[in-house]
Amino acid sequence: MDITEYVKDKFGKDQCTKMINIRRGGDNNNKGNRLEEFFAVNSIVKIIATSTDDDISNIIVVAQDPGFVDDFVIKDKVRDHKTNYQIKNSAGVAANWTGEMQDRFEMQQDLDTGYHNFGNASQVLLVSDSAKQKANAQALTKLGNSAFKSQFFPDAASTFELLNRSEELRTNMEQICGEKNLSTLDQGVRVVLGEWKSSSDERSIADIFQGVRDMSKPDIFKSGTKLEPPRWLLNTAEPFNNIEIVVKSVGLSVRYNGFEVNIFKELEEPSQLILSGVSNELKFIELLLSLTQDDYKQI
Amino acid sequence: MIHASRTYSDYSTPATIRLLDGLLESTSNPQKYRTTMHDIGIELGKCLSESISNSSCLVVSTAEDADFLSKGIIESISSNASKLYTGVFWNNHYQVSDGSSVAPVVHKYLQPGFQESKNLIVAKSVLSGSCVVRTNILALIDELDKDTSIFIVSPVLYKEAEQSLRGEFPEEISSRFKFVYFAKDADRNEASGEVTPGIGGMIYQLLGLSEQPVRTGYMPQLVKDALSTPT
Repeated sequence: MDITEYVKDKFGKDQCTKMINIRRGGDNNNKGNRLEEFFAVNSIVKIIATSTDDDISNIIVVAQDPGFVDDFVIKDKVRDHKTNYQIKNSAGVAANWTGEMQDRFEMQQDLDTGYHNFGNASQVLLVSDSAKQKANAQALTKLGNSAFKSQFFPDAASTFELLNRSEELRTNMEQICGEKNLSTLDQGVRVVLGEWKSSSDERSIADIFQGVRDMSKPDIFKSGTKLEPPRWLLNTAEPFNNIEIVVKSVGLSVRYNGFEVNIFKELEEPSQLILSGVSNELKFIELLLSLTQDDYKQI
Repeated sequence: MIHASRTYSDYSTPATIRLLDGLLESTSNPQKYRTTMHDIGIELGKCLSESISNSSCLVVSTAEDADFLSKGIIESISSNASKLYTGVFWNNHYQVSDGSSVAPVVHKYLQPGFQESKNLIVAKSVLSGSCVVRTNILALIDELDKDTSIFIVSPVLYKEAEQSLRGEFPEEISSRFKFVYFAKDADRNEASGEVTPGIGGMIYQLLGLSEQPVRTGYMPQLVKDALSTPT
C-alpha cells in the first residue's frame, strides 16, 4: 500500500494533504538548511565510528522521507529501530514543543510501526538552542512518552566551527581518520557533507561511506589493514640516518628535516636503476613525490 | 591597462600596477611570468615589513608559489624579521560531489622550529575562493601561538574572497587576519573559479608547470635548498 493511502485510511484526507505539504515544504527548504546538513554529517560519522562494517550496510539514512517527522531519518535494520528528526534551527517559537508537533509525532510513530513495520521507533525534536532544548525536554517528560525525545545540536557557520562546537563530531571524526589534525578532520567533514548533499535518495551508511572514500583524494579514512613499509623502501632509506618512516593509522609518513611525504596507497617498486640513483635524502624524497603523483591525477 | 572590474588597494603604487599588468602581458612567457611574480612578492613583502619588524615569521605557500611569489616575499622581509621560517604545502585541489572544493594537504615542508613564529604569512598567487588558504591555515593553527598574527598575502583577490575566508573561521581567529593585496577584481568565472583578469589564468600553466605539483612530483628549489642544508 502506498503511504498516502495508509495515511488517508488511518488519519483522514486532511492529514494526508498535510503530510504531502510537509514534504513539499521540506523539499523547498532542504538545500539551504545548514543545521539539517551538519546534523546529517554528524549522524553519518557517528554511525561509521561506532558500528561494524556489516552493520553499516543495514543502517539507512534519508532526508525528507514521506511522513510527518521527516527532516532526517535513520532506518536501523540491525536494531529494528527507526528514528525521525524534526530539526529547528531557531531560538524562537518555531523550536517550541507544541500540540501540533505532538500530533505529528504520534502519527509518525504509528507510520513507523504500522506502515514501515519497525519494531521500535523514536521521534526527536532537535533544536540548535540549548535553553529551548531543555524546555522541550521538560514538556516531553510531562507528556510521559519515552519514544518522543528532545535533542540539541549546535549550529555553525562553517565546517571548522562545527568541529569546534560539536565534541561528538570531532571525536568520531578523529576515530575514523585516526588523527587529530584539524585540516584533516575538516577535509573529512567536507567530503562527507559533499557526498550527503550529492543525492537525495535513501542510502545505506555503507554506500555513503564508500562514496566518501572514493571521493577523498587522499583517502584519509582508516581501513581494516595498515599500510606497511615495503622492504625496498626500508632498504633505500637505510643509508640515511635522518629519514624517519612512520606507520600511521592511515598510510605512511616519510619524514626528513621538516619534510613529510605521505603515502596512502601501496607503492610500486621502482627499478633497480632508479633506486641506485637515490644518492641522498633529497633524491629519496623526490623519488617518493614522483611515485605518489599518479594517485592525484584526475581521470 | 584599464580593467573596469578592478579596484586597487592602498598598498598599490604605479610600480605594482605595472607589475600586475606585466603578469597579464606575459601569460605565454613562463620565464617572464615567474620573474614578474617574484617581483610582486618583493613588493608585497615591503608592505609587510613594518608589521613584522623584528619578530619571527613563518612564510607558507603552495608548492607552485614557493619559488616565485613566496621567495620574493621572503627576500623582501628577511632583513626585517628576527627569524624567518618557510613552509610549503602540496595541496590536492579538487571538487567533491556537491560541487564544493576541497584542497587536502598531501605532503608538506615546514622548517623545523616554525612553531615559535609570531607572524604567519600565507602567500597565494591569487585568492578566489578560500579553499586552499583555509586548509593550510587549519593545518597550522594548532601548532602556533594563539596570538600569532596571520597575514593573507596575494597580488589579486576576488571581491568576496576576504569575507569568504573570514566566514570560515570563528571571530577569535579571523580577527587576527590581515589581508595584504594590490588589486581586487569583481569578475570571476563561476565554473572554474578563475578571477578575471586576475593573474591571467591558471597559475600552473602560467608558471610553466603542467599541473598541480602533487600530481607531477614537482619540488620547488626553495625546498631543495632547505633540505640540502645540513641539520
